[in-house]
Amino acid sequence: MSGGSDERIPVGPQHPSLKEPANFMLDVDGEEITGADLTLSYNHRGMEEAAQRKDYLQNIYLLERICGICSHSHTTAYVQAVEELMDVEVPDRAKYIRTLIGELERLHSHLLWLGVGGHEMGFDTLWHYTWRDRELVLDSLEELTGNRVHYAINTLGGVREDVAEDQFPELRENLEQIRERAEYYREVVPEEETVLMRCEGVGTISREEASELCAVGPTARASGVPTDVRKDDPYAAYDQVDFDVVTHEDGDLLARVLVRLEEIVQSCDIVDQVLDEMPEGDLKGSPKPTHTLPNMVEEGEAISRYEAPRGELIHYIRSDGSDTPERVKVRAPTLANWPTVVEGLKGSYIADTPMIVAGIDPCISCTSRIGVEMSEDAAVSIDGGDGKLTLDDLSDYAKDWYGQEVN
Amino acid sequence: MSKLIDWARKQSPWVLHMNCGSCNGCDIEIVDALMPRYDIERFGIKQEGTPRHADVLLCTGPVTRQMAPRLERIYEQMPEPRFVIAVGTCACSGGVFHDHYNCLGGIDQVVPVDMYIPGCSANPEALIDGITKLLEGEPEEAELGRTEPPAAEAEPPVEEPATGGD
Amino acid sequence: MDADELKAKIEDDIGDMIAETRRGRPRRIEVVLEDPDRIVEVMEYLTGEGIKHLSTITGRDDGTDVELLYHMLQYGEEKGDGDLGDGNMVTVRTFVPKGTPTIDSITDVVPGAALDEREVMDILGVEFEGHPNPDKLLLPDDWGEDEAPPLLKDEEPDEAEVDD
Repeated sequence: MSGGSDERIPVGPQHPSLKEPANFMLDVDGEEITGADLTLSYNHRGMEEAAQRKDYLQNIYLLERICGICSHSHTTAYVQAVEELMDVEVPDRAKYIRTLIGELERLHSHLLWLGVGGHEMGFDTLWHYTWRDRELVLDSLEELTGNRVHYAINTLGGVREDVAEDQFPELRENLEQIRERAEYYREVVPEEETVLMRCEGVGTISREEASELCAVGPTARASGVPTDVRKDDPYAAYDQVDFDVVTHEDGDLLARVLVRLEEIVQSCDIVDQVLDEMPEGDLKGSPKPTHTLPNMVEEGEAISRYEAPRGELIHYIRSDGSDTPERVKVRAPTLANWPTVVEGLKGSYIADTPMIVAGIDPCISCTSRIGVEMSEDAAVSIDGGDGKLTLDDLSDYAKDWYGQEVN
Repeated sequence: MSKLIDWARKQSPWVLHMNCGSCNGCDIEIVDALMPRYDIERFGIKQEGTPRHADVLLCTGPVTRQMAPRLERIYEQMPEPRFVIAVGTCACSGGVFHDHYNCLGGIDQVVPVDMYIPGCSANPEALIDGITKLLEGEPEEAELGRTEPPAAEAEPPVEEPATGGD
Repeated sequence: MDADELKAKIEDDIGDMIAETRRGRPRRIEVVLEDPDRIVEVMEYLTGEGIKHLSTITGRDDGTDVELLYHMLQYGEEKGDGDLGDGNMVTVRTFVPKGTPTIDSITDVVPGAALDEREVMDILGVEFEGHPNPDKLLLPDDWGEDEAPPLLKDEEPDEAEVDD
């Protein structure tokens, strides 16, 4: 939208007929963004439509693949909704195992983001360190569930696999290392010149803005909004464990870094408690063979909420009493946070665009395809001014602008 | 001379990574392969940003309708010899999305594929194995492994969405 | 204020606008809005009471109408009893006829609704009047005019189903 500024820079498609998943239209005055618009076109795969053609059991494996980073979030949110409709009691041990895997997922996701964010701001050392730490989490996930990605631990009424006491010592060792590293990063990262330069005071969203835009997760908490589904709508074993909702007052990119760092430490604590208190008992709430369980789903509807690493995830299911859902609706957290990117861009520099986008921890696949186009008369010239750019080009421009080395 | 160039290229392939609607699982494992534990850069495998300098196109995802024209365009921009690797079950066959109204059912529905690396997700070991096998083969042998996409159609086929309950 | 108290308060305050309220499992309240034209008023009331977070809007084709569910959340902190946790979820249910699937956009009251409304536009063909930016969100630009929204069922549900 116009703002009386000098020019518009469409951060748009590479080619008019190839629309990218996200296109920003930036109004700029010199190097400063005075206004921003967002056109978003997701990489749609038709999940919800397909979910209506598969039974409740098949859908676990389908919906798991909405996202390879937070697949456990999706399956847990989903089975919780189905379990409400089945009127089955999930045993405590299963709830604890779900919590365990859920927090390990949060750990790997946050470490992943720290690496991606680090890379984006020109702090590649952080990238290499955190992704090396992350391998410890993936090792543990593989040890416990059999896979590094898509752990498929959930089934209707409980979990498919047990955890064994003799797996705990190695898991605790890995956690200890991760906690140590996270505490180290928590101390060192906010003092790093690079981090301060690229993150402090950048992309600030006020608490009111975050609330009005219905932001979720660390993005919202970094602006002081005290929301965390594990607290305001507890599920699995979260009403049994002690942890804090991590918030920060500043609402800038640095706050988002700090919130996630603190959450890593919190997650390590939660896993420790889960391992300490793991109750004995069954893994499944129903003794019936798994493949018959879809027939136990009664007519009705259920809304299930889950705190995924990126924020509130919500699954809605409408059942007509058959073994196939009538309607499945999924709202993943990233969708809720895009509007904060638009707000955060206003008043920032062009060079801050990639980092502000990264700040909400969006799916990497989305950001890798964001197109950028500069109009010919823009005073700022990027890439020779021929108008064909990617967000990666803006990343390089940013590092150059901030006086950092371009890889 | 071209054989020498081919050989030199084989020893140091530059890969371009493209996500065609993937859930990110395979993509993260591809990036993981560059990270300290697997560190495929020590084999000379280098990640490249533009198709014009790339030897190998690593594709993930079942190919959504939005991504199909872009995949074609990227492939066209790559100079010969060029190789396409379908990484992950979705890229190989569409995976769980094979019958979705907005997905085409795999990379080979759009461009020729030289190597299929299944897995959900394909892990870094499988990736390294697949790339090495592809490049160890003589170019002629790699040619034999090619799967051509279906005969050119004006539009990719669109399945009718299923209607109503059963 | 717990869920039962909140439900009672809603009934007291806006009983004239709503057909029914229901309590489900813990932290779940449902409000049925008979007249979809009053959706903005209902949203103004709810946000005024600290029920400000829109989680999402679920749309569903129920044969004759498109059912719209606005899932709103009251954070624990807003409940007024000093407790951070344990919020309340209020779902507003309303219907628009498939023949004229139009309803006012709530983006003036809940700016965060913009993307959720666009999603429902794409997959069910609902029009949200007054939406600031009604572009396609999920579907490709070349999704044809004559291609039905993906989650809309047969146009004439009363006729016999045709076997595929």
